[in-house]
Amino acid sequence: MNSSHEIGNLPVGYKFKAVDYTVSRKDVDNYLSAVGTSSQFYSRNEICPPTALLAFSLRSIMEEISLPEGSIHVSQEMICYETIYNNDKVILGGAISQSSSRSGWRYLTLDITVESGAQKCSISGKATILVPE
Amino acid sequence: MTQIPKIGDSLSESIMTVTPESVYKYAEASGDYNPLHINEEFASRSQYGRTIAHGMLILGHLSDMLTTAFSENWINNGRLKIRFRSPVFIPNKIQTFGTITKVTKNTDSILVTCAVGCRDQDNAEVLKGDAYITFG
Repeated sequence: MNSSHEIGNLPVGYKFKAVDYTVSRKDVDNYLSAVGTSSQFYSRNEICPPTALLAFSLRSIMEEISLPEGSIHVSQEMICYETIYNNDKVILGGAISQSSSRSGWRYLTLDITVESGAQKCSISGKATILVPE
Repeated sequence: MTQIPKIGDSLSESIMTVTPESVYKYAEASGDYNPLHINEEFASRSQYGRTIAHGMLILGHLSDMLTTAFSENWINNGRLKIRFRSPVFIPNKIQTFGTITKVTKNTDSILVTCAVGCRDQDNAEVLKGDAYITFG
């Protein structure tokens, strides 16, 4: 595990360890409960919300590195290519695609991918995070 | 709204109550225990002066609005680009909004662009951006 001090020094192109993940109904239910989803769409159809998969991907990245306290998430992009269901097996991946320093902050852009078992990209995302230096 | 919308159509707004409990639940669900979100003492020394909600928690609520409006079209063919414009202090009430701004007919599909965002209980825009949904 890298220390939080090192994350700002990770080079552009650094790839976080890809994590095999089986979508757990419990994880999805916990996510839906936290977000306060009123629609039964996801639970009725056993579908994992795409934003939950982004959150789980970020969680897997945070298991490899820890962001310094006070880091701020400033923007997010997401593209959905296919539906992921409960019990589907996916691969959560991430990489640093941009890194720059300005006014005491490190601007980090993390590319996030969720691939299905067939190595098909199901969801991709881009998170920009400000890390205090 | 599963049929193709028209320019100017509004999405059904929804309200989310953000509480310390919901934020902690989100921390557990996402593994994001940044003290800025869950530790009052730490947050009091930050530039915000108090705890703020995870941006991804608010984004999850926004995505729910898009799921309600476009169901499978959103989760199979949706694209979203947003900025977190200001912090969401806790507790709060967050209201989503969305308006269709463009409908582009292509050869075998239709691309719908929707301006989306969330306002807090003081009517400040805390999140804003665009969603793109492909039909067909």
